[in-house]
Amino acid sequence: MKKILLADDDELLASLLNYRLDKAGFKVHWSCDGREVKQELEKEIPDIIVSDIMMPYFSGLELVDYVRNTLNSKVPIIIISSAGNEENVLSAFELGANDFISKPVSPAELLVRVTRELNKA
Amino acid sequence: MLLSIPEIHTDLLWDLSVLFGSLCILYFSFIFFFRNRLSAKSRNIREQRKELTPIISNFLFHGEDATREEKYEHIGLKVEIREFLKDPINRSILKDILLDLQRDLTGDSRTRLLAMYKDFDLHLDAFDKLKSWRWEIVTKGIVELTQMQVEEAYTAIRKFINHRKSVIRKQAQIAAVSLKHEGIAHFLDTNKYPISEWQQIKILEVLREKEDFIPPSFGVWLLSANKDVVLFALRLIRFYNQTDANSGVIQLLKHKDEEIKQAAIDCIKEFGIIEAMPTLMAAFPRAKRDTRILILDAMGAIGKEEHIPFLREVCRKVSNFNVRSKALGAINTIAPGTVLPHENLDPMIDSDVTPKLIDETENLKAELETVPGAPSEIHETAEEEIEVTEEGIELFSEDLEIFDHCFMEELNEILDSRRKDEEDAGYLPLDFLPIVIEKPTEMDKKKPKKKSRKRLWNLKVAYEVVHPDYEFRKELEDILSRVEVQNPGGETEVEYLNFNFLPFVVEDAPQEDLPRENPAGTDQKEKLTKVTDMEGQQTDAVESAILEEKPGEVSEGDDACSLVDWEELSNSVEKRLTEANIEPPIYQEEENTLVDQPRGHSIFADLFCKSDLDAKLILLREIPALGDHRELTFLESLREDPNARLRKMAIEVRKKLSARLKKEEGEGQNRDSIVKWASSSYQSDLLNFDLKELKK
Repeated sequence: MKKILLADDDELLASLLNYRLDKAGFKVHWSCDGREVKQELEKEIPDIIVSDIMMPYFSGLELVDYVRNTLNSKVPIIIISSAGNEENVLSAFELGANDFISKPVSPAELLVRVTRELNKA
Repeated sequence: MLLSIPEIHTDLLWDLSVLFGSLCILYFSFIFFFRNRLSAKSRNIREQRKELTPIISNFLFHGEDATREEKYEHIGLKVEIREFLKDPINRSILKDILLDLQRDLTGDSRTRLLAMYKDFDLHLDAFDKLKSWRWEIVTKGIVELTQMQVEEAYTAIRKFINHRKSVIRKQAQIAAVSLKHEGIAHFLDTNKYPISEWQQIKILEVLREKEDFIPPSFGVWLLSANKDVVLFALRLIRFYNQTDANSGVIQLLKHKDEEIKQAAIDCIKEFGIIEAMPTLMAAFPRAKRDTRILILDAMGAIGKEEHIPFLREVCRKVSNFNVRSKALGAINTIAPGTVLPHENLDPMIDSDVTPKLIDETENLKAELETVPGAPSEIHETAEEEIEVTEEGIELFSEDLEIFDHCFMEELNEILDSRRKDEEDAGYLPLDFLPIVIEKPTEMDKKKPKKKSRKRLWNLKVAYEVVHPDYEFRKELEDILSRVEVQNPGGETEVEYLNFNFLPFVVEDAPQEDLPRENPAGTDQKEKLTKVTDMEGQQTDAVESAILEEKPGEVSEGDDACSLVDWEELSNSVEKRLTEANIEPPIYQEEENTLVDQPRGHSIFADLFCKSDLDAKLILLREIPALGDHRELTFLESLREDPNARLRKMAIEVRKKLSARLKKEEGEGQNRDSIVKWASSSYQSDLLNFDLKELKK
């Protein structure tokens, strides 16, 4: 069972995505802020990371940078960003993010992207 | 007087202290109580949300492929939620969750979410809100129904489209457009209030996000009495590219309202409605400045060359700079490069010439040893760069000769014709004009010839300054040119000497600067016998001066003029006048009067009429060196020339000419003391002198 680290401070949406991904057969660990994500990553590197860009304490961009440069991990990272937040998305790609999905999110689309990234990896 | 302390009973102080202490305790107790209550409520809501989220997720992601257990579970949850929603607080919590989620979700999940909202009859609460007398609650109800896409609410909401409260009205307008496809038509039909720009954009955004929306023909609403409806219709026509409304849009150019006119012009420009051109031109004179600019902008975008005359007319007649520049811009848009900057340009700057090439041109001067008759300067007359090789240099020399020859012929022809017509003016032949020769310097001679690319208009040709006192020159020629010579048979023959070779030299000009084209022959004996005056009076047969020079005696730089010691000659004449008891005539200073009273006709004027622009520029450049006071009038007339380049150059040339004339005028006063005696016919009688004797 593939492990997904879901990092999003929006409990409602995270819970919904968590439910959908869990139903799709993934083992999802949800973290509601950056510090928690960091602690989780120090413990274990998941198979894929799905992270919102805007998070307290540790933004999605910092997370990408941390994973790529500090942990030196090539784990696939999918970024969730608000619509029209093009600059952040480009920055994330420059830092090493693999894919992005914009809000409002289609859980079905996210599932497809996660599966594709995992297949690539 | 001593101040007495008021007496306060200690009991009263204690009572007050107790009262304020109690109030403080009461206040903090209230704060603590309500804070805890709010916290408990929010904690309760959070917990409720946590409990409800999986249920909602289950509802949203429950599929038809679910197993039997899952289906049982789903039904059980439904029953559970219905029980849960009996509590209004719980209904409110669920409604908030759904409203939050619909913002973050899209696709199938969102559709299910909206369906769930209606399934649990949450929309009925929103309908109840519409009945509220408080405007904020009504607005909330409309927003909720719009967000959750409750189409059934359309009829209830559209009643608020013309509500007197603007907040309700605006939300109702958006809701009507959002909930049903025909909402926009109803809104445009019934709207009585102004539609703000922001509101138009919001409605447009709603329409854009609507799926399967087939826009109606918005041209219908161009007839609306509401100005804002017309403007919004025009915006919608542009947004949906509805070209079927073109005739209506053109008609709006005649609208009294400038805003509608401008919107119609924008539409015409965007659609490129060429049929609107006549109406645009007709609307132009009555339009305001901003509208005019928009009309010109549209004409530039969709106009053709046949519309350029109108735009030129606008440039001529309209004084407003913005409008004029827009018209010029429109001309250039239709036909690029038609109008170019022409004012305040330095005529000496030619963008085709690079500094490197200017240096190469200096080398070219060394190669061109002599170019007889070349003009003093050659500048930007050529439009194209000319590559000069040795063959090219020869051709160029020939061209210059031909040009110079033609120029002189033309001048002489004009001069002859003028001489016949205006004898009083006393025009002079221009034979005395020096032939301009390029004088190579020593350094130039040493330089080897190179084959290189050169620019002809940068050539600088040596020339000499010619004195403008032609009157004096003519009279002097008349006096000196007629010479009686005795032949061996003893008969006297009259010969006319040609002094054309003589340069017209200012007194203080250095001798070495004079041309030496026709030096006096060293082996020739010249005899000057009898000189007649200007009036033709014959003097006594006095032995004339005979100048005898031995070969080699005359230096290379000497010419016939230099053989005469003018100062001594002048003294001699004065002495003879005194002996004859004759008062020397008072010389009329014609030169001074010439400055103020220019007379005659400029020879350049006729040439100017027959020349093209380049030739005119060449002629203008010649004027500072060759011209006289007559040219000042001519140059003044050029100030009104239609060509800006000529106008500017004429002004510059006039300045130069005036400066030169003033300078020479000052010098002329000094020179007069020596040479003006020759202009008097009376004094010429006394010119029967022996030059040889004088020479001694």
